[in-house]
Amino acid sequence: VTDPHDPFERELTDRLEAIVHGEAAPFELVDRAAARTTELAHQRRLRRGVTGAGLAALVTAAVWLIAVANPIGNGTQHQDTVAFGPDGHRITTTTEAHHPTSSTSSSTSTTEPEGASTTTTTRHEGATGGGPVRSTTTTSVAATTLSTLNPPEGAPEPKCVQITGPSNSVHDSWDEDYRRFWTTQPPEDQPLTLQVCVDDVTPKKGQEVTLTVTADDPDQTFSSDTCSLPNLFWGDEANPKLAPCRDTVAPAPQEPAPVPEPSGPGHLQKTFTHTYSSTGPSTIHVDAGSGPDAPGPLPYSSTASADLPIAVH
Amino acid sequence: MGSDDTLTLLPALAVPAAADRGWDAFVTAWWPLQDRLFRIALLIARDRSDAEDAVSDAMAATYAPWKAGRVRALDAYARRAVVNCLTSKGRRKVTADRHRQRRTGDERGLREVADHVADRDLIREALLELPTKQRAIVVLRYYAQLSVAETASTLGVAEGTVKSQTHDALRALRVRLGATQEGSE
Repeated sequence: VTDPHDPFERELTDRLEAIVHGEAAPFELVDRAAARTTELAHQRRLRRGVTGAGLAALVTAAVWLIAVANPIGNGTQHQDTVAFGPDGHRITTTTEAHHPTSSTSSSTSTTEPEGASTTTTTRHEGATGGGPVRSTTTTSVAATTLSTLNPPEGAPEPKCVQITGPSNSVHDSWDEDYRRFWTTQPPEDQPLTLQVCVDDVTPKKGQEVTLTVTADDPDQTFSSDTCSLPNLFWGDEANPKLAPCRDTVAPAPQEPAPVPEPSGPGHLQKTFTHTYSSTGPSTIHVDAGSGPDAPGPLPYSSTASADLPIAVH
Repeated sequence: MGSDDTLTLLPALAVPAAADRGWDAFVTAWWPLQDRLFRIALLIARDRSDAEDAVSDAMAATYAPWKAGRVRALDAYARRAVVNCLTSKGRRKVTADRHRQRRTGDERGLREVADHVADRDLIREALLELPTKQRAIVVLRYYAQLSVAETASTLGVAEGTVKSQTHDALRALRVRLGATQEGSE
């Protein structure tokens, strides 16, 4: 450790030992240490408490920020749809609708916020002849409007709602393991306009109600089969609400296809009747969509939904 | 070293079971080390009160990790804790402040080590003229008989630092003692 042959170092060791020879720690050092231990434990608890309070404040702030970014009730809405493509692969569609501001609703008018948007992500898994493939279909609602058309003076209660649906834009999206679905970016979709009118929004029990559904799509015709007929729910469980039979999904993974020409304009008008057997408030719900029914809509296909509240007495 | 070497072999230094890690068990394990630690502290500290505070503070600081089972070699851990208490400037100030508050009822704080032990001892005086870190290195190497690696580990510095600081400290001590002895002759 040291040089034992160095007389100076040897003497240093001896003199250091001589300085403290016979020295002993006072007995009360243990008592002082015990007091100091208590003091340190208290400080540790205090630090832990401060740290815990800081973490709690951070978590609260994070929750608040998330709540501000996605207001509950008017915020993000998710919808997952699972389907299978023609070659057996799985297609999962997740739809998120973002509403930046609150919507208000009353018996006479409803206003939805402008600038809302819907993002639909479609994931293809297990496709034959390659790895997983993905595509993204983004539907932007640039100006989703819901307005109540007021009837002429002296007529019965307001009876119509009109919806301008979202602009449906299918991108020329691709995956590294796959390829583009469209060889070029399709043009912007013209939204579908849906109007739902009922002859009386305050019918009596047993009274026949007539509902007229009118849908217009400037750039896409309506199919003649059942899925293009509006899904209709009277609100009294006489006929259950039907799930949309046509999902907004990208085409099945195939060779890149050129963007087709618009087939529109398309127009659809149908009339339905119904008799309510019980009193109380109800909501008539209508879904309408243009284009083909099979998965893989054309880039001009659009959808729209409308709710019309009525009160049976 | 003397008889204190045998203390490191006592069964009390072994890490006790979790159930035996109370304050009493800690004091039992600490007690054989205390005098040795106190002497090291006396040599490094500038006064006796600092040495006492360093040992009691080190004991308090060692209890929590010892209780948690994080201390494998209590003697080395305690030695490092004592030296840290004495070489850390912040802790020295806190200790001095605490001691200053206590001086009114206890005159021990006024008594310098040199006054109490060997105020005429030239080596002691020369030692006190060294910087704190160098003094700690000299004490650990020539009193505690630690190796360069052990000294470096205790102080938390590189071995090269220990070597160079030892060299500087010895040179300073030689010059100081040589000049003093020449002057006295």
